[in-house]
Amino acid sequence: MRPRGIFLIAKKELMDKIRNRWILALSLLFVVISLTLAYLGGGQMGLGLGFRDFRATVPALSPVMAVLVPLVALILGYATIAGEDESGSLHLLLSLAVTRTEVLLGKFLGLGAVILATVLVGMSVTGIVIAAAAGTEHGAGYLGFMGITVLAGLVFLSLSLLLSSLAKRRSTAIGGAVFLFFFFLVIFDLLVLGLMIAAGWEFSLDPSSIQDVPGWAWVLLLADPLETASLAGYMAVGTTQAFGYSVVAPPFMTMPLLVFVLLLWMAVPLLLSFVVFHRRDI
Amino acid sequence: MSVSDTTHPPAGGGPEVVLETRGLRKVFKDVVAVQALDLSLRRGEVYGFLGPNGAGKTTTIKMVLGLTFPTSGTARLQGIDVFADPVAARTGLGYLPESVAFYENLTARQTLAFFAEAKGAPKDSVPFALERVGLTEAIDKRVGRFSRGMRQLLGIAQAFLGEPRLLILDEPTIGLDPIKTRLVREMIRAVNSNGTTVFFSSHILSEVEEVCDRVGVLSAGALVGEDSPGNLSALLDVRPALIVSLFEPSASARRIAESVPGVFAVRETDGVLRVECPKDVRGEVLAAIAREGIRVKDIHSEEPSLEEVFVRLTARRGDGT
Repeated sequence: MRPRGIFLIAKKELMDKIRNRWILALSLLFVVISLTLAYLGGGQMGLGLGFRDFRATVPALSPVMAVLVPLVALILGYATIAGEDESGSLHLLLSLAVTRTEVLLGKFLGLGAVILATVLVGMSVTGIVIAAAAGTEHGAGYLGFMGITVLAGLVFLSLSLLLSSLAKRRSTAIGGAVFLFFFFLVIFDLLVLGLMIAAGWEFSLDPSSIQDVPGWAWVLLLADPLETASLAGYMAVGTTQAFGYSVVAPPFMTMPLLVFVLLLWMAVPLLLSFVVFHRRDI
Repeated sequence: MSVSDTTHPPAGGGPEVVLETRGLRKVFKDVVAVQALDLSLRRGEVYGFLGPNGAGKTTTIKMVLGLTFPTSGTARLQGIDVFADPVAARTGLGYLPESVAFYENLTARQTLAFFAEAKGAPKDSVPFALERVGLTEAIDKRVGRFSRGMRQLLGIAQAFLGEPRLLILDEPTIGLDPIKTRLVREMIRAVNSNGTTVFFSSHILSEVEEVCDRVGVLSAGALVGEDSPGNLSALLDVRPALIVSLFEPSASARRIAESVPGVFAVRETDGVLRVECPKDVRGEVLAAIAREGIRVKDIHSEEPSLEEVFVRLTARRGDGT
C-alpha cells in the first residue's frame, strides 16, 4: 500500500464531489438548517426564539447529526463501488498501477474529507453566530459535538462503502442504504423500546422527564451508531439524552467508550468492505 | 499536429512476451465464458482480438488486467502475474474499456491530469493528448456534458497518455465517425512504431485487418484461430478470385477457365464466372476466354478478407454472427 496512490484517489474523489452541484446544495442546506434549528431550538424548550448558548443549542442541532449528516454520507458512498462498476469508471481506475486497497482507502478519505468540509462549514457558521449572539460558554463542548458529528458521518460512509462493495448494482446499493438509514433512525429504537416495555419498564410520555433506562438497554444502544453518536454529542456539552428522553447515564457510559464504539463502527465495516472488494469481479 | 508526433521517449524495452495467459478460464455460474485460453503477445506487435459479441473478449481482457478473477489459469503482464503484483504488472499500461466512463463533474483537463499523474506522465502532456484526438475546444468542459463520441475520444486520449509500453484497447472505434476511426488507426500505428505493443479487441474486421500483425479469433470462449491475417486466409483455403461477367451464358467458358494452369476452381452462375486463382494467373484466364471469342461484360477481383476467415472459423463452432 503506497500513500501516493491513496492520496491520488482521495484528491480525485474530493475534486469530483466538490464540483457536484448536489453536494454544494447540500452544504448550503446544512448551513441553513443548522442556523434555523439553532434559532428555533429555544422555542422548543420553552425559552423563546433566538440564539442560545452552545449547551442549549446542541439538543436543537441533534437532528443535523442524527439525520442530515448520515444521510449525506450514505448518498456520497452508496454508488462508490456498485455505481462505478455499473458505469465503467471503476474499470479504468483499477487498470491503473494502484491496488484495490489504495482505491478503497483513497475513496474513503476523499469522501470523508467532503463530510469533514461540509460539517466544518455548516457548523462553524452556526458556531460563529452563536458565539456572537450568546457568548462562548461551552464552546469546547460544541467543538466536541462537531467532532462527533464528523465521526457519525464517517461511520455511515464506511457502512455505505460496505453496501456498495456488496451490491452488484447501484439500485441494490441505494435500496440497502435507505433501509440501513431507517433501520437505525426508527426501527432499532422502536425495537429496543418495545423490549424495554415488554420487560416492564415504566416510562413517561413527557420527553422532558428524566427516565431510568435499564442497564442492558444501554448496552443495546451501542449497537445503534446513530444513538451512540447522539448520546456522545449530548455528553460533549454535559447533558444526556437517549431514545428521545432525558436520561441518567450509568457510570460505564463514558465519552471515551462512546468514541471507541463509534470508531469500531467506522473501522469494522471499512475492513469488511476491503475483504469484499478484494474478491469482487469487476 | 500529426498523430505520429510524440513528446515522449519511445516506449520499448521490457520482456519479450508482454502479455501472456495460460489455461485462462472463467465460469459464471453454469456458463463457460472463457475456456483454457493461451495467449502470448510479443513485444512490439499489434494483435487483433476478434470474436462475435459474447465470445468472451471483454471477460478475457478484464482477467488479463486483474479486474475479474479467473476460475483457473494465469495472466501475466510484462512478465508479472497480474494478481500477485497488480501495481508492477499494470505499470506502463494504457487501457480503453469497451464502455468508457469518467467522473462526470471533472473537466476533460482535470480528468486527464488525474490519469497523467497516476501514470507518471508529465502534466503538460494533457493539452497535447486532447489536441491529438480533437478535443482541444472541450478541454475545460465537464465530461458529464460530453457526447458518446467525445467520451470515447477522451478514453482514447487517456489510454495513450504517457507513451504506454502496452496498450489494451477494447473496441476502440465504437461510436466514432469514419474520420475519427481513421485517426485512431493512425494513432495505433504511430505508437506501435515507437515500440508500444497493442492488444486490440474488435468485431470490425476491416479495422483489425488494416492495423494488426497477428489476429486471434475467439469463439464461444475458445481461441479458434491465431496467425497473421494472410496466413489465416491461406490456412483456411480462403482464396482470391476473379469474377468475370459474360454477355451471355457460355457452356465452354467454365471449361476454358478450368484448363488454365494455376486455377483452383471455377463456378458459373447465370453468365458469371467465379475463378479462384492467384493474382498472376488472372491475365491468362482472361486471354484464354478472349481467344475463344467469348464476350466479357465486366471483370473484378475478390481478395480473401478477414471477414471470410472470421465467418469460417466462428461457423465451425456454431456462433458466427
